[in-house]
Amino acid sequence: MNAIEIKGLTFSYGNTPVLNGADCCVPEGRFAALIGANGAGKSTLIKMLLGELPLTGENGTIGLMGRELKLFDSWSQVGYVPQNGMASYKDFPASVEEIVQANLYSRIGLFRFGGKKEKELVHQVLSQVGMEPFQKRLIGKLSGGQQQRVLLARALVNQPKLLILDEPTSGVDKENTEEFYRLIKKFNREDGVTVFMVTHDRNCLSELTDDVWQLQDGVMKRVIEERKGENHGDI
Amino acid sequence: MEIFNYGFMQRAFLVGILLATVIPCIGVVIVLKRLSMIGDALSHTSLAGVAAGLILGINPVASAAAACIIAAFGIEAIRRKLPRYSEMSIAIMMSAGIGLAGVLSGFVKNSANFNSFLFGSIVAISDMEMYLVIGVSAVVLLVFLLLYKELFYMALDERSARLAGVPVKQVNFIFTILTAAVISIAARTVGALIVSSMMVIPVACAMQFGKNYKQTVIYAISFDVVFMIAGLFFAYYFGLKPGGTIVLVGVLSLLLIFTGKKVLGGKG
Repeated sequence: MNAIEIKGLTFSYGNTPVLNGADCCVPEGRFAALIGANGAGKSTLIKMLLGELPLTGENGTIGLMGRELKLFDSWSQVGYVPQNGMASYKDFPASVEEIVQANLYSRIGLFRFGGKKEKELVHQVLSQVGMEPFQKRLIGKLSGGQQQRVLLARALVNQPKLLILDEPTSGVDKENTEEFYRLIKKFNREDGVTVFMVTHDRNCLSELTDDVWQLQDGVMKRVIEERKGENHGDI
Repeated sequence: MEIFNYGFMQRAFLVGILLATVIPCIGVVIVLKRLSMIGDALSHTSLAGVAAGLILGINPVASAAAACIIAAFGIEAIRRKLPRYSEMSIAIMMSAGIGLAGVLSGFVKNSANFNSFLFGSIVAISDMEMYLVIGVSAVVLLVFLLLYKELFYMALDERSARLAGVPVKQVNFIFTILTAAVISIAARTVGALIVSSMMVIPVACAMQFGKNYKQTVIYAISFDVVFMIAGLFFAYYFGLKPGGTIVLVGVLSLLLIFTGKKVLGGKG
């Protein structure tokens, strides 16, 4: 099954076309990267994938986890890591623990606060990304790399099947970037989480990813396919 | 104490403490969503509602609430039209509100009544207004607690909140109504020109000490209650206008906190 399947996607801002019949598929368990110049439409594509921009039958189709996006309602299976939040979280008065627990919303439900079980899940996922000692720390007091690991923990706390990352290491130093990639790779290889990562960091591509997609002139084309010896299903 | 011998001062303290409890609940979300100026825009627009209410002979607090709700949705509508310049929507709505209030105030027969909404008249509120404050405060506090985790997540990251299943549109709608209700009752008591300071200053103070979101909310409420009580005391014993005094106490406290942190931080 394809975790992501995009067919003939078009989108324009006014008279300016951004996507012009883009096609792409990411089979389950794969690690795919999306590259492209600034303004190529990567953010637009992410917004469409996450259901933020309107998608009618006329501007193509998107499938997530084998279901059409319009009918898709299992968002807890999708983890999302936004761009480095260093600037926006600088003075935000929230602890690491509160931020990760916030994503357990659908599990906790309306008009309830998280209990012991939810706290335990938060501790588990924080220890998986090496951030458990920082759980009481304010998010703004952490470095950019540590913040991204917290956001990764937040995305993983629901044990998603698909992880979408939007330039997660922009503004993060080399050492923390490498550590971040090591974690993503581990979750992909060991837990089978499908990864779709928008990135500017071309250095990481060959070692990390199975497929690299490039968005240019509104269309997507696959530019690299690594680890060909391994069977990850049909593309 | 002499100050508590007067019924109007007892009412002022009761209403003041209730408002000081609920205003930061709204304020903390507005500040963290980086929309501090919305409080200002809505409170200024509420004056247009007050003027309209006084002209039409309807309760000015109710008409102020209606004006706030219309303005809040107006801001959202303009933001959607101009997403890249969203802050412009606040300036447009604020200008429209002030302009309309200015024109309508010319038709208000009792200008003293209209002016009382500018800086509030917490020591001159009626029993009916006191009950209104009690009722609205209870509802706002209850809804804030019920939507505590939704409002927190939306303030942190609205996109991730939506993906996690938070009904973002509905919660935003409810929050807009709550904001409008709080601003309109606060306009009558502490003043339309002052209410937004009461939303922002205690939160700014609390953010200097809070180690997490929960603490920040509790500290913000505590700061606002202290500012309110101290402001009313100063206003009574020094013959000052209460609304302005309360805000000045808050601003001075914030300056002291900033200075204290800088001095202590420098030594450390």
